[in-house]
Amino acid sequence: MIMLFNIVYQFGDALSFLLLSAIGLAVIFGMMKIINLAHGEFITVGAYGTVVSAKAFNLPLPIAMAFGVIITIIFGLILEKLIIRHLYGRPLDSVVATWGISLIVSQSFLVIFGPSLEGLQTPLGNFKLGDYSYSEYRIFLIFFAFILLGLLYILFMKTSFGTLARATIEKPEIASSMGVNISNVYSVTFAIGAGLAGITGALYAPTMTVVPSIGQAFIVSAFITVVTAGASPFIGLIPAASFLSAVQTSVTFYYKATIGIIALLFSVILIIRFLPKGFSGLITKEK
Amino acid sequence: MKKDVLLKIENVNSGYGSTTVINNFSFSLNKSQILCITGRNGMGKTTLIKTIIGLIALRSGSIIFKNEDISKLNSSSRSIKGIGYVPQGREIFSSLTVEQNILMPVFTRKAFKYGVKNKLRDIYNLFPVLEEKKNNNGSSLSGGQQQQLAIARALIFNPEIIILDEPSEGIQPSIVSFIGETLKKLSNSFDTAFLVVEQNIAFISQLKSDCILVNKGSNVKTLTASQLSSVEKARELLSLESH
Repeated sequence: MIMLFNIVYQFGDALSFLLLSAIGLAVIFGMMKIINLAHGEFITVGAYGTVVSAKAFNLPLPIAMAFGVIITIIFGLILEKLIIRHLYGRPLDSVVATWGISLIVSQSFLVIFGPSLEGLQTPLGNFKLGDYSYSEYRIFLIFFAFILLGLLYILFMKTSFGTLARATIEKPEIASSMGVNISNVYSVTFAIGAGLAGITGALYAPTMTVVPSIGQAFIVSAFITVVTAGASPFIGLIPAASFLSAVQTSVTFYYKATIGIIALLFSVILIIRFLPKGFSGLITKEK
Repeated sequence: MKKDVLLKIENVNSGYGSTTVINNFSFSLNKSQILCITGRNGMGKTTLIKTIIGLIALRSGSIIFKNEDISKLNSSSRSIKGIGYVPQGREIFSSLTVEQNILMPVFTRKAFKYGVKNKLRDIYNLFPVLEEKKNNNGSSLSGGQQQQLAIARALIFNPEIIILDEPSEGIQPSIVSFIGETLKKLSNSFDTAFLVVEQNIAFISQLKSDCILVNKGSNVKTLTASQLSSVEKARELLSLESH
């Protein structure tokens, strides 16, 4: 029983990490087709925004997190206006540009804040089952990841803004000729993606050592989850992340963590080989 | 009785890169008038339309809509002024449902939230097949249904003019004539003007409208509705290949 709970907990923890890593990238790469190698640095900005504001102004954690998210949104909006908007429809150029942004941002954090920040305490408490101790905050993250994805699905699939965003991304010229201010739609959509990455950074800031390269911990998970999710990221994200974390958790359980990561990456290769349209392709074909 | 001029194109020049496609093109269109533009492929009909709606930059000349020069506005502002567009190949948003496709232009117009339910009702009465399929994806429709959807998407915001690019292309004849009757009905009962680029002579003749013949990007001549009243006469005068 305890063993089962232990596995479910590990699975949920891995799942929420994949989902939260990927959620902002699902908008920026999954929807807008910008290969954003600076996604990890958006998460970094969210984490630093949270920790620095919590320390500097002695803010309670939820408010510091909100502050971190707002800073990431502003950062995303500025980047979109200056650089990204010139790269729509130029995926390869976006790789080079966002990689450059990523280097500049992480090095700037190193110069400004030094090699690491004094960390925050993980909120909420721990509880014990048998010999194992579990973090309540990590359980909260699992639920939060699902709620966030649900809200994102509603925003893009059910609201008028979501309709305009999907129309603009599919056929920008036609959307414009129907009266859509496409440059605003792009900015807002990109800012939503940046804000989501900021949320990820803010949420994980109290659980990790905040260093300038903290974003690197997320970027691989983010890309493999979005790629295996397929063309409709909001439909494919949960099945993709569930599958990947099931592979990782079960292999880690029987062998060890490094083998778990290898199994995870290997299964991604298999998915891309046999399900080139990802999990969402599988679902929409069945419908 | 003097008719109200709705759209006036004067000495318009435009093109792509260093190539000029449209040369000193002029014409005008009155309120609730239907006007056809025809000519062989590659003569610049689509370029002309895209210049009017703002997807291709104007090089010189003017585009006057409701007594205002709109040639400096971008395409979304021109659409907001009251220009509807039904593009060649329909260009339905495949990731949106049928109803989202229809309502999409309303979502960008803050002033037009009222009365949209009634307008949608009117549109579904006009095109019942769209109501049946309103929750399907746009990509699941047949060509004729997509054409009706593209027209519905233009009608939803009550534009004064709707510009259609080859509406009969790739559509079965019964639907083509249904669309022709619908356009005539709309211009009579709702005062909507239509500018129709078309190569299908039976369709042009059915619309009972004047028709501009385009050759190499220039306005060659305008034929009147009475000259085009029979398909045979129209075919001879417009000297196009038959379909």
